[in-house]
Amino acid sequence: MKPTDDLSALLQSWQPDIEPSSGFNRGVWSRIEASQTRYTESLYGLFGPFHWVQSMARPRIAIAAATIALFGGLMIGGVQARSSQEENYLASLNPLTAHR
Amino acid sequence: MQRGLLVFLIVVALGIGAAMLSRHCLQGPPSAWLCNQFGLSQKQAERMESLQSDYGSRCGPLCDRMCESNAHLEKLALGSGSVTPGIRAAVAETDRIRTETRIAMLDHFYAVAAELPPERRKEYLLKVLPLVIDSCGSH
Repeated sequence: MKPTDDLSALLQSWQPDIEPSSGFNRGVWSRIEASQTRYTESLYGLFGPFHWVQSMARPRIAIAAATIALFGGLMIGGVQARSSQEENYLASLNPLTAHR
Repeated sequence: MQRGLLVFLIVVALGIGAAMLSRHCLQGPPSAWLCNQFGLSQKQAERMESLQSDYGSRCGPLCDRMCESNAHLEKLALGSGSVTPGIRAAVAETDRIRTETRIAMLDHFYAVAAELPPERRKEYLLKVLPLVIDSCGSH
């Protein structure tokens, strides 16, 4: 008999003499669920809205956001002013709207 | 968390404030559009301001008269069940003032167009003429 045949025969004849506890399966599944929940929470923390709000408390991010908001606001206001100039001019020519 | 929210709200307010300030400062007088659209010089811009001011002082009284004649016509029309000679006269009066106003407007448009580069006068007139010429929608 070859050594591999011996091992196979031994494994087939082996019976575990320690029974798993009654809550074994439940414990395994609860650990799996807990690990999945932690994964979902970490993704939400990274991409969710609260992460952004929390990060605004950091001085560097706050200064960067304020700068972007300032320049963005100035640009948007400038574009709006340009686009409303024609409308304002034509309204100023209409006597009924210009002198109200 | 609360500090971050506060900073976020301040940043949003800053952006809105900057937009409003920029819009207010860059809007300029009504003739600013003419200067930007037709590339007018400082001297021409001042001339446009002057024309606009004259136009305002001419059209203000006409507007007041138009409002008065419209109110008079409305009063007569509401107090009558048919077209009376008084209503006919009131309609004619509103039309007369309207015609006078349209002529004043056209006069102003030609005065402004005369200050613009010759090749762009038609472009200006096409913009402003609908204010005095009612479109029939078929052309």
